[in-house]
Amino acid sequence: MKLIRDVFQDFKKNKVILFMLIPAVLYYFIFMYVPMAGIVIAFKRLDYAAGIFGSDWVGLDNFKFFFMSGQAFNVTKNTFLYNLVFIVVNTSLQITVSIFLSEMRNKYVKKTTQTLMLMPYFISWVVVGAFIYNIFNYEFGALNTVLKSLGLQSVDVMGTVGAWKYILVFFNAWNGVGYGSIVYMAAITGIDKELYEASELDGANIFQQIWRITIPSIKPTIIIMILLNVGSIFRGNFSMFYQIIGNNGLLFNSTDVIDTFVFRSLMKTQEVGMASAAGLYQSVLCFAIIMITNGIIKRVDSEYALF
Amino acid sequence: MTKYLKQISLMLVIVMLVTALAGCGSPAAGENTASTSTVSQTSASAENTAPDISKKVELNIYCVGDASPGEGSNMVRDAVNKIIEPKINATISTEYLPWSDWTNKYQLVFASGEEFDGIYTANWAYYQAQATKNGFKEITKEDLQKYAPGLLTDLPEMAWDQAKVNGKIYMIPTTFNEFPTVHFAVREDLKKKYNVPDITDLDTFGAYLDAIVKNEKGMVPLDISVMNNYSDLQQIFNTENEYAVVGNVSERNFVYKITDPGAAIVNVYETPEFMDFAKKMYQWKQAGYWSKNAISNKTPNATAFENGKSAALLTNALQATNYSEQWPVQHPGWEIQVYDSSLGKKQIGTPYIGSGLGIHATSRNADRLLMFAELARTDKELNQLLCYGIKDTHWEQVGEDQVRYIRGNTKVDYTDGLSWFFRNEKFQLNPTGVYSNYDPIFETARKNQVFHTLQAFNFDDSKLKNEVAAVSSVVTQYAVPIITGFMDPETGIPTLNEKMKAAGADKIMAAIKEQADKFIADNK
Repeated sequence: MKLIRDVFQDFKKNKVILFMLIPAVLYYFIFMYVPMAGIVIAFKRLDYAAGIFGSDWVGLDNFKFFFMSGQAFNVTKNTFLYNLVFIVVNTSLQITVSIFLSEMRNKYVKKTTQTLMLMPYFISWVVVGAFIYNIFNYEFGALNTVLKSLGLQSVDVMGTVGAWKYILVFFNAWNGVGYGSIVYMAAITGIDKELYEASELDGANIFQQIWRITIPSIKPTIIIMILLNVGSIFRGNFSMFYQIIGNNGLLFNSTDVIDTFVFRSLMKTQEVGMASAAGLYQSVLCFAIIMITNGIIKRVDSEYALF
Repeated sequence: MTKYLKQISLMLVIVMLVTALAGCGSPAAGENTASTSTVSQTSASAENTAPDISKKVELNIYCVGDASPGEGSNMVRDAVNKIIEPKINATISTEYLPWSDWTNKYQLVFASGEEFDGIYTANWAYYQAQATKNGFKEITKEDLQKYAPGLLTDLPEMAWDQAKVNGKIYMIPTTFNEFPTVHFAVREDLKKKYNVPDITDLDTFGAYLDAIVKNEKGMVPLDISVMNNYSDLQQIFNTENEYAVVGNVSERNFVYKITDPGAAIVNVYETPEFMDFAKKMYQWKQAGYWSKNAISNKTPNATAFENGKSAALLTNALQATNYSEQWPVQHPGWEIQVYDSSLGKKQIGTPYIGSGLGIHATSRNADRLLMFAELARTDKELNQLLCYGIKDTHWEQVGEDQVRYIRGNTKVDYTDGLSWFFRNEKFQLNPTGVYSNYDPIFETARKNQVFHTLQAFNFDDSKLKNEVAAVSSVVTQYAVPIITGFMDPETGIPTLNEKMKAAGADKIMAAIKEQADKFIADNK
């Protein structure tokens, strides 16, 4: 009884603030919680006439196809490793870029650089896929035209399995660094300028400032950003992998991620239930990994944990 | 004051929650029940009287394929509406699922719960998949008797049999003289220039490609896209060995011999003939007959040919008539010829369900759509309007039964997905003024045409969805690169077969065999 009264008291005291929270709560309720009911599709054989809730239950049958082909481990591993590399490469580049930009004194150079770096983020992967195809085209591509004019041998990139790891990481960074660095730039802007002035009086050079002031100050931001990325570490960036690799079967063993694998398997049968099953599999793995990571961070320094 | 505020805010929260909930869940369910009840009502009331057409309706129809580039689609649609409105008090409106992305969109229009009435379907266009998921409304013989009796007499019993999935009909099939055999279309002007002898089989076709690779540096002899064209190569292999894909299985490797009346199902990947074919393709690819990029290329062979990048094209004989008409207009100096690839072997015709109209499960105007389908199939003027376009604008009649297309004006040309829904053998005209091998190719095909009981057989894979999905992924990863010469068959084919086994290909094969045997016994 006391508890309820306390809650009501609390409610009364903060009602304006709580009122302002409503849109966000509603948003999450409608777009995040209500659709969760759709998870049942993963355990059903969807029948359009019967609808989602009226279809027959099939137990774990929808999950089978994923493990039957013997590719499950490979694609899960690929998804995890690619995302891990993406997180490491992108985060370190983003931090570096944001520090460089904030140290830049000339306003025009700074703004131009920032705009140019941001732009790739707005280019669709479909277009990027076409770029890549045209750069690496064996007969008429930009790369081979240059090589040929230099008197060198043409290279067949499309058939070279090893090259694509680097190509994918490169284009992912090219696409995401400019956009991601905005967050860090905002964090750097928030650092108290007096700290820098004081350190200058003490004779610190610019590298010491970056190492001793800037990086420690944005550490919470870095950790939160990494945690948010880790939360989706088992979700492959479908549009990127699909547009760049496409149906090039020669590369699949080293470039196939869960999302492209599932897409390819189900293109012909078009089973919604199986696709949902794969999605649920990813969600469960992501949930596990975010809990583990957050738990570790909580142990080490509870201030930085997400929850 | 504060009290009021509290009450008001509480009220607001409740109202918002309720509307949110209402907005999400219930209408979809409500709509479903509403539409099914109207359908059952109309069909119930129609039992006693003539169909009620007092209310004007618009029939929304999805076509597979691109719309005509200019005004062509609209011109034909308006002309169609002018004919049908006085007769059945309905008009049609069309939407297109363009080739570039139709496989995804086809699935989406069903899954999204969108309201539409009819959609193009075919054995190669997810007929089975959607029918087993109840994406289509069942078409019963009673419905046909009531709303479209003309269809029952116009289409042979065999056609309805082919359309049966688990004993129920979900599409209105078409009758059309066509063969799925893939032939070689070449640039006759280039062939003459380099003195290449006439093409009669794969080897002589190879000689032509060889001449191109040696002499035309800016061209790729056969500029295929693996994703879009591997099935053409597989079809050539099937023709060569008198195979046909069994039961409309989505993977094309399970076949039967068309000259053998029994049901000996073969997995082609395990045959020595496939090894030989794959070796040849491997050599061709090494020789540069198609590009090293083909595996990532997304531009279909036909587009490359149209743009002058490719010197050859794999296509069926009928499709080629469009090309040989249109492209020489765009490129003066071109001459397009098509060579028969069938080697005098037996051929099987395109099944009746190679094109057809499906009625969407939630359509409220199924009755009117059936009436439209009846008109479109049995009214000669309307049928030819749909198939060829407006007379004397899009085509002109030559003699009794020949048609000459008027093409090359992209503003009004009619090259439309709408033209395949209702093809009717009876009103079909023979194209004239097309490539000169057209008649001999069709004569040979008709002379060698055979029929097989299994043509009407549909494989029910509902118990093997997992196996089908797993096999599907193995095929894209291994079989497709092998057929197109990107993987050495000596090492590739054993790996492929091992992976196929792991994915459950044997299980699928056994199930096909069992169902096919039963089907043949039932249809003796």
